[in-house]
Amino acid sequence: MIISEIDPICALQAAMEGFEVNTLDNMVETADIFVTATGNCDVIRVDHMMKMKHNAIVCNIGHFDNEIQVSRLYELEGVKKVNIKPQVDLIELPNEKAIILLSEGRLVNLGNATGHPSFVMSCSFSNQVLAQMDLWQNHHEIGVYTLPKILDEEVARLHLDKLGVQLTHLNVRQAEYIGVPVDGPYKPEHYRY
Amino acid sequence: MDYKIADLGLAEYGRKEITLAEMEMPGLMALRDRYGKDKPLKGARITGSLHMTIQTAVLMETLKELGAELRWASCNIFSTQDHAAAAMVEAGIPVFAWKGENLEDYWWCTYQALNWPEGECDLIVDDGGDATLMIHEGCRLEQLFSQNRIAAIADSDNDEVSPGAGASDQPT
Repeated sequence: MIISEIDPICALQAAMEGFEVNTLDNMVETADIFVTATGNCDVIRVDHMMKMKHNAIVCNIGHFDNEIQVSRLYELEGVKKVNIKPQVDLIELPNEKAIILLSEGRLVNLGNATGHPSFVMSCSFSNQVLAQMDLWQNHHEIGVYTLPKILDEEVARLHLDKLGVQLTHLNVRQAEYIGVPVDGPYKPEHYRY
Repeated sequence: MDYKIADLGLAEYGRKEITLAEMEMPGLMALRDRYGKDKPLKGARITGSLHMTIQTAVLMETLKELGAELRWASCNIFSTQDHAAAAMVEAGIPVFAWKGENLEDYWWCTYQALNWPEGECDLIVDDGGDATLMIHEGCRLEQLFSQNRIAAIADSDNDEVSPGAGASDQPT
């Protein structure tokens, strides 16, 4: 696996995790599978797709289908789309090669499979339920709000038993020593994990 | 009850998988235990624009258990699991979603989820912001209409007034 990255911090994280970090332009002719995960547009362009190996697999797990230039690819003269099965298309290119496009460039985990595991979604959706309760029960001025850390911690707490986690508890002296309440929140509001 | 899904006959299959998923979603089930009795969402009309999967079904039934009324669409044309959608309709929730919508279907479904037969939507669970985008587009068009700057707001052939004309015109 080779990572392409624009953010030096993320690039360093990837390298320290043992991944090779390189540009798409450098690697486009050698990779077998391309996965975009950026939230940005025009990440895999038509000129990239033209340089890919025959039958390279191209998909997106980021956000909109414009991470891969799908609509521009379809508009290209000589391009032919052959549907293999639902959400799997062979795209024949004018250069005698083809690529395999999954879910027309839309979210591949949900289009070609069934999304995230239930346990992961329970963490995310428990936050959603608490947010809906807060929005319904309390008055808010128009704005963007994040859930307070204490509720994030509560959601995590609700998922520990299932994984057999035994949590260690702070005593009062320890809590005072690091300046947090015994029962949390344990991190400041701006902290990101 | 109005709804549009692929096949209501898949409801039993959907229910079986939802029951399995409930065991893997301890946070949601704990919230049902904790708040199910008090119904803190009583009276809330919640529109969902969120992948109509088995996991989302467990979220929906949690919100319902807490007292909310729901109308639901998916936020992606390919992400619906048809058996999950069927189980939700069987449980009495109006769902507008099927796997393999086209873009016209997609915005129709989003509109249906927002269009409450009695009263208005109170809250949105909006993954990707398409339901919110549609409301903003609607407000913009009403404003143009009131200023006589457009003749009719129902002309869906006109790119200028179709909800997909904004910067983020593609469902996730």
